[in-house]
Amino acid sequence: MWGAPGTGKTTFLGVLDIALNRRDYGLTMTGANDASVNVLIEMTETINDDREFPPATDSIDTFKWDLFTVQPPQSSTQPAKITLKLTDPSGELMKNTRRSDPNRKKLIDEIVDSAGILFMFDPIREFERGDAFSTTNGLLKQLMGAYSLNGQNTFTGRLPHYVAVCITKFDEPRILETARALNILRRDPKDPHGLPFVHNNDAPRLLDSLAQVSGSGDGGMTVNALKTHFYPQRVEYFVTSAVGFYVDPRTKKFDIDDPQNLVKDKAGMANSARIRGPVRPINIVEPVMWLSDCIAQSRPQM
Amino acid sequence: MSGDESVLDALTTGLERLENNATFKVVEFGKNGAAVWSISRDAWGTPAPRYTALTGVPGADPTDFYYDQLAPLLEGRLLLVALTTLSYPRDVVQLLREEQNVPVYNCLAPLEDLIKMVIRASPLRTFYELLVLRQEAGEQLSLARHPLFPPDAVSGYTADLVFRCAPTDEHGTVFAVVTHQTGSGAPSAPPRMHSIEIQSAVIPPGTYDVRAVLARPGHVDFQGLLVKLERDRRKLQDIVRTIPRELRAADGAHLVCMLEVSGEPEPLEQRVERLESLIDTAEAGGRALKVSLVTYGQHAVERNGTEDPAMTLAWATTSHLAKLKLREVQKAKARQVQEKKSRQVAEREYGRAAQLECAVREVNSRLTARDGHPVLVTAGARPPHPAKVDLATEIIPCRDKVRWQDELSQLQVKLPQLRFGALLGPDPFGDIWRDLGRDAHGDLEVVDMPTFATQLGLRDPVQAVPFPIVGQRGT
Repeated sequence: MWGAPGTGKTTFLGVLDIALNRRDYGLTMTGANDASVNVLIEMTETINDDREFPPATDSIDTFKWDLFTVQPPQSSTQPAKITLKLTDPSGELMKNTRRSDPNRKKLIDEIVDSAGILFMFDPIREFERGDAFSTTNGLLKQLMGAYSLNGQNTFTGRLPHYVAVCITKFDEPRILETARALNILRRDPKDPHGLPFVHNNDAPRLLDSLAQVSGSGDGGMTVNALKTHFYPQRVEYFVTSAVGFYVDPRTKKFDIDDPQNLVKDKAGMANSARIRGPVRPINIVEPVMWLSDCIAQSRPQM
Repeated sequence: MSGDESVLDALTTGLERLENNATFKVVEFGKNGAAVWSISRDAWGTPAPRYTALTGVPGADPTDFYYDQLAPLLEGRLLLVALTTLSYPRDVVQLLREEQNVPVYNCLAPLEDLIKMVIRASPLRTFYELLVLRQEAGEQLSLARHPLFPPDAVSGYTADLVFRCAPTDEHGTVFAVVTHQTGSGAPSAPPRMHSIEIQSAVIPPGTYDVRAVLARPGHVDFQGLLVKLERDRRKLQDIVRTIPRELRAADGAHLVCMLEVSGEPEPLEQRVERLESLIDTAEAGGRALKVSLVTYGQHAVERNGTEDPAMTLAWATTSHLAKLKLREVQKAKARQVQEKKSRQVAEREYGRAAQLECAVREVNSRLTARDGHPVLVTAGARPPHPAKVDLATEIIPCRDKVRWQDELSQLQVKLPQLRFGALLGPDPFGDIWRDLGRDAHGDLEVVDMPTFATQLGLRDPVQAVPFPIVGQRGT
């Protein structure tokens, strides 16, 4: 997982199991070891029962979680069991001032060993601080250097990873309003709550639009850096929300005039926010599944 | 029969037989010397005593004393001579017996006490009426007489009545007991009014249930007023001239208090105290005052949240009742805090807004000009919930989608004379406070309440109405 501090990496992982239980993806999930099981239980409880967010990661957390297909596989390439080795680094490690930190080196090694990256882009943080490029560019350079130094002659100047770019915090009113203004909000007629979503095909437009209002003016460079450092066909965009939108318990319907599922003690203070109603994650399982499918398909068939 | 009883009997009979506009006299020789009492009835039959004291009765020449000092005072009818001391001048008394041919009684009680007793028991000889103002259709006022007691009524006779006291000048509300003479002059001439007694006091405006008790001929006690009446020495006609032709509707004020009850008990206590002070200040201004109280708390925006809806606890009621309600709100808050502590159930209060918008809607749905010049005062701190998501503040919207701007606009269109005042805690937040404090705004800590009330027109000069009002609004 890759993202500046506070972009919601840990929360993303915390709601993964809730997302699997909200909708029938044909998957179940557990930890591959005791520590991972415990983390899974604790995170779910914190978010779903206490309506709070899991604490920020201090250094690097590594989880090994297994996803099991409980329906017959749809295609021959889809495995019956997906093992996710997820590395959740502290966002602080992304800062260039930490580039000599041993944990930073460990993170680079983890990414080099990975086949897929969940890249978290938080438009609210980008609007307020605009540090996505600075936290991305340095790491990209170090990663490119690692590939180059390892003497991989086949290195063509692009990183080989599959990248699921998650445009997070879709539930934030300003993000929702931007999507509405771009006329890219969709609703699934089968959804009883009428919750909105943005199709992956429209996600880059939203990302471009949000990048233009970057606090540093560098948001566009982040987008371009992703496009140029990875193979474009290996990058997919997802508009995500860990907590989803608020659904009025009286009407059971989503209301675009009252969408916030976070209760903040001060405007913009998402860090101290509480979760207002039931958690309905949006596009949380999908990036993981997409990465899993891509990686599985790219491997030689046995 | 004792001497006292004989004197009482003689005085009672004498007073009964005394014609209107007539007088009888009584001579008393007491510890302080001689006195000549004159007991008279005026044209309306009201008896009244007065006396002339003769000091230094000479023992040496009783004849000179009798003819030079006493006899000139005895013109008219002498009823009796009362001896209330043993050391009376026997020669003078003997002269009185012989010259005036009157009975002489020895008695123990001072003559003054006996005379008062007889007058108090004397029945009325005419109707007693209270001068009032009758409020006709509209706001016109007319002078009228409200019956109190019939002829033959005696001390202790009562009459119950309900009336309204309006704001007055410094003389207060006048209670003028009058009688009238019929059949005099031309047949079409209005009856002539005669003042029996005029009393007055500055009485808080409001409606009163009063019992009028006949104390004695010439004096009526009015029980049920908040203050004691004093004798008013002005002429009745001078007072009547001050009656306004009509009652201006604007003279009454309707103070609507919107009180935020969310948050900690201490700020609420301060808001309650300030509103009480405002009510007292407004009332002291002399205007007829009606008070309404609307409370509001927070919306339950999340699970385990408390919904504290806008509620009307009192509407167009008396200031006394409104203040009682304010205290009840404060006590309820203290109980609520105590219960939360004992239950140990995590209740989440949304601290960024209160349902002020719903309180404004509540007031908008009820407020008219009917109850007096309207004044809306809000004591609170938090901003309202917006009708829909607010990208700047991110305050959770009102669950009923009430738009405070619309509610306030409607109020201002409906009641252009409505004045707005806000009593605010530190750092009030939200555009609404600019509108709610348009005419007056004060800091809860340091507000100068008389100035605040004046800015809201609650202490404007009042129209003085000198007499109690009966009619459409009073009874």
